[in-house]
Amino acid sequence: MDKNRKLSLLLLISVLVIATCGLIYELVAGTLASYLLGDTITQFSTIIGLYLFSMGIGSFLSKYVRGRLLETFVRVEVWVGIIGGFSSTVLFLSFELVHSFSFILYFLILLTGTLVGLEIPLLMRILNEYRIGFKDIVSRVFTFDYVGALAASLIFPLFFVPKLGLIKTSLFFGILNVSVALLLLLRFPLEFKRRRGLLIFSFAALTLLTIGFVMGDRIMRYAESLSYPDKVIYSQSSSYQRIVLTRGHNETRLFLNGNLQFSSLDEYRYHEALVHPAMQRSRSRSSVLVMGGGDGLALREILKYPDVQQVTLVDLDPALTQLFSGNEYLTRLNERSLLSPKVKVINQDAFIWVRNAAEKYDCVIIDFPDPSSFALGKLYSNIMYHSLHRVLSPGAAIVIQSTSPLFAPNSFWCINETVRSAGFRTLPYHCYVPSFGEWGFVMATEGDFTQARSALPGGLRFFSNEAFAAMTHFPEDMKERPTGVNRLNNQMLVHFFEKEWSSYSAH
Amino acid sequence: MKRKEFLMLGTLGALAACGTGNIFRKGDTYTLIQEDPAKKFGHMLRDGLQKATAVQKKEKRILIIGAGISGLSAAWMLKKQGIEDFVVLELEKQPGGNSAYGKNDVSAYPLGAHYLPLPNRNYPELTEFLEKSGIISGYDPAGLPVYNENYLCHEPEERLFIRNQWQEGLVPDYGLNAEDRAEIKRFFAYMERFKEARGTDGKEAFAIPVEYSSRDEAWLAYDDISFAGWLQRENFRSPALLWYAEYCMKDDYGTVPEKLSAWNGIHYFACHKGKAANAVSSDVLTWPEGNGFLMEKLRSEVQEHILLKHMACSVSLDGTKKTVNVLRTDTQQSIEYSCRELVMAVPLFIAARMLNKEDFPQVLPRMPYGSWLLANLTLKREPGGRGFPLSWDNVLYGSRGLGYVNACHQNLQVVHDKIVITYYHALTGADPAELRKKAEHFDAAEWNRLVMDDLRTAHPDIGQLTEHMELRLLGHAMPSPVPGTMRRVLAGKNELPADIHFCHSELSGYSVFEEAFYQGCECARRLIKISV
Repeated sequence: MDKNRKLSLLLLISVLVIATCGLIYELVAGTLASYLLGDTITQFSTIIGLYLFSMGIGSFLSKYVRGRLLETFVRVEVWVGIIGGFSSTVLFLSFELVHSFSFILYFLILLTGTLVGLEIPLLMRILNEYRIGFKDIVSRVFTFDYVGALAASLIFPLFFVPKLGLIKTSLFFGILNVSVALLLLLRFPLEFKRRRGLLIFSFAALTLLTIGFVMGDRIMRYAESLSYPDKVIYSQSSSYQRIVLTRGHNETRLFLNGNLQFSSLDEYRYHEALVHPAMQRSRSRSSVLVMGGGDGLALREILKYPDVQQVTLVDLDPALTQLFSGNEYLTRLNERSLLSPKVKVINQDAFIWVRNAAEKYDCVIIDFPDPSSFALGKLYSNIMYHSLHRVLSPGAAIVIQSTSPLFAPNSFWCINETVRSAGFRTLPYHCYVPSFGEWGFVMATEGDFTQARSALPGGLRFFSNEAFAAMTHFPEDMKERPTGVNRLNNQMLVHFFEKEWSSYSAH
Repeated sequence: MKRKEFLMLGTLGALAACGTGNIFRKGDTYTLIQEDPAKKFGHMLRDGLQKATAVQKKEKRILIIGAGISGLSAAWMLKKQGIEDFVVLELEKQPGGNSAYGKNDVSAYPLGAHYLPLPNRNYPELTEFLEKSGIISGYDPAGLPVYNENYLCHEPEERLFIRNQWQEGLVPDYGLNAEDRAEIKRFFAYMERFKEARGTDGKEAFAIPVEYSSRDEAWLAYDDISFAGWLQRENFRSPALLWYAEYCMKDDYGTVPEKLSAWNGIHYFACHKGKAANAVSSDVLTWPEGNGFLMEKLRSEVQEHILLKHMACSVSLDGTKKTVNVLRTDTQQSIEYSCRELVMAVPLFIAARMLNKEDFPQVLPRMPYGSWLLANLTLKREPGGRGFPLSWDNVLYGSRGLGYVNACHQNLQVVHDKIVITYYHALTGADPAELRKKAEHFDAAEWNRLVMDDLRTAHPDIGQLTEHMELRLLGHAMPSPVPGTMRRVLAGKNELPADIHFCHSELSGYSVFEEAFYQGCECARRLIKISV
């Protein structure tokens, strides 16, 4: 009798745990779905609905369970632990890999709900076998059930999500579920006929879940890395963007907000083509301005000219310029350019900065991210180019990275037309950068273009004056077309860019 | 099974705790209430509490009561014509009326009107003002004005939250069926015809300023029915279109189509025909401080003539002179101004309270007014949302509010940490007088909830995002012309006392900058004629 009381008390505590876990899995699924799919109201209400419905299925199925109730209960408990515990891991990982994410989501909810739905009727029947009055069973089971639900709904938003995150939260409750099963198995060995098998099963599940829990942060990072082809070696969210570095077998790539900025394998092509034509055509080179280009790679090319006396680099994100001035591998790549005494780094919004700038520059290199949003599109507007006049010394040349004239010809020629509308003569050119494809630049001056004024510095791997002659030729499939001027009140370029690049989603 | 219900409740409860918790957690979200400052003194006027004895007597040739856009425009015009012997009295501590604005660490923001549509090209004074203010920077070879592109509303201009996502533009489109789409197309084609239409008198059917509109009976007849009645008569039944029409009417007239003259309803869609070298006619001019920018341009020209915190209490006739009792709200001193010409640049219901009943026995015509609630929210970061990105004007389909405008939209920086949004809500649907009474017992928590509940539909995290909210309640924000009003307005039958000059956008039946400016300039022109 005493043993029976102990068992029934343990069973009631397990009701509490089950109720808590059950609700947690439901909340995890709902939160995850609204994180990943958006639209909180729809996600939560469909998930609640499906979950409750699945519990109904479970309750219905419980009547087909005959004999060995406690064993079935323990088995169900372990399965709930495994499935519920790993649910958020599976969902996070499959979001990047699988197209029918919603199917997996709803399937997991159906499974968890059914198993949780099985538990309570089974428990009631077990308690019934230990001859506790029906009145007491119903009263106690539901009391613990509801208290558990309340506990879950409070600790989930207040403690678990902020402290552990979703992946670890569900793993933690998976561990709890399995622990209940183990406790029953260990404390009441005589109640089970196939105890050994169940023990092995439960321990295996517990180990798995614990390993998952310990590696939770790594799983999170791995889930993110799935969107990159190579191994993620560095990732950080600055106030402005997500900075990710990946390393393949022979190259390093930088991604900002998921967009490739360079590959160490061929960035020299891009940066040589970006910097040298304008440096060659500026009347003087003593003072150079770089806007964007926080990776210091354009800077590296600029510093190859001994007559450069000072360079001002304006890049919004201090996290990026710090990364590229501190990290050993990256400073080798940019030849410690950001640390040069000639260089002054200003972490400010380039548009705002240029409108208040007091100095004048002999050459201006503009290496902004592609105009993929309205916010970035401003940096390519005629007003931006108009305000450049005030920072130019006589005879200065400007160059602007201008996306691909092959994949996005309207975008490219729109930049060219916008620069021209702001009172510049332009010289558009392009070159091939394997990791980007065919890439374009717009060079601009206030007066006439001259021929290259000086010899190129030594050590260039790609750029030469002969090569440049070919770069200024635009074959039929990239040839100039009228587009209109990119103004702040039409942001035409962003519309072009979005339309043209959407057909090259691989990029 | 009870367990299920409980689970459901528990989950909803948890949801609610996530969603609403922060409004009640006042630690980081506090609310400052700004009541309509004119209200208190307006009520003093109404209740006749202004019998202080004059301690000072002053004389001016011209006295302008009210430094809203109409009063400032009149002053601007007088000054431009070399007249200096005038003074503008303003009750509040800042001029501007509906073009007033506020400012905090993050941004300036409107406390009322927030944009100017591209002006039509038939009103040289306005063009001249825009040139002088640097808003028009030149003309192209075809003679079209080139607008300063810092002031033309930048893209993305408008978005609508519909079916749980943001679409581009305010006209409902996302998820609409073919029938709705066809009807919306038919509606706008109709409005295009109204834009082109002219009367037998050669005037545009629907013009801005309103005064330039045709008096042809064919067009005046639209003033005989309500806008809702006209929509019904023309068989417009699409709920999406009807919602859009109602939204527009609330936005510009503070009332619903059922209570608005069809003339005004059509006018809203058909009056803007502005052309520019570097913009399309649907573009607008806007600034972080809204029309406060335009107001400052007017004000800076006549700064030395403006007396703030001067409440005109009563107006009486003294032979050919007019006497105005003025109470300084800061020092409580009373001043008796006498003037040859008096300009009432205030709404008529205010004017009616000031005029001495014995000297001015006639009853001033009354128009219903729309009441507005305006809230400026400082947000910790830009609000997100699925679909089209944050725009200048952001409206929620099916909402009772009018959405919000991003005051930081015209800022050029790429990334914003904090922004200020201005939320608008026309308090329609109830008796305006009753609403205003309710507004007197201004319950901040209640209005706060109204704003948050509305915005939460699109931004579930608005409670967490909001760092600060400033509410402003405008009891008489704008006139809402009922059928029959525009016939009276266009016939020039205003039945106003002849001894004094009236100057206010209400006389055009349309509370917009262009009308206030026009009324101000026309009034100044009359004054100049008299003095010559």
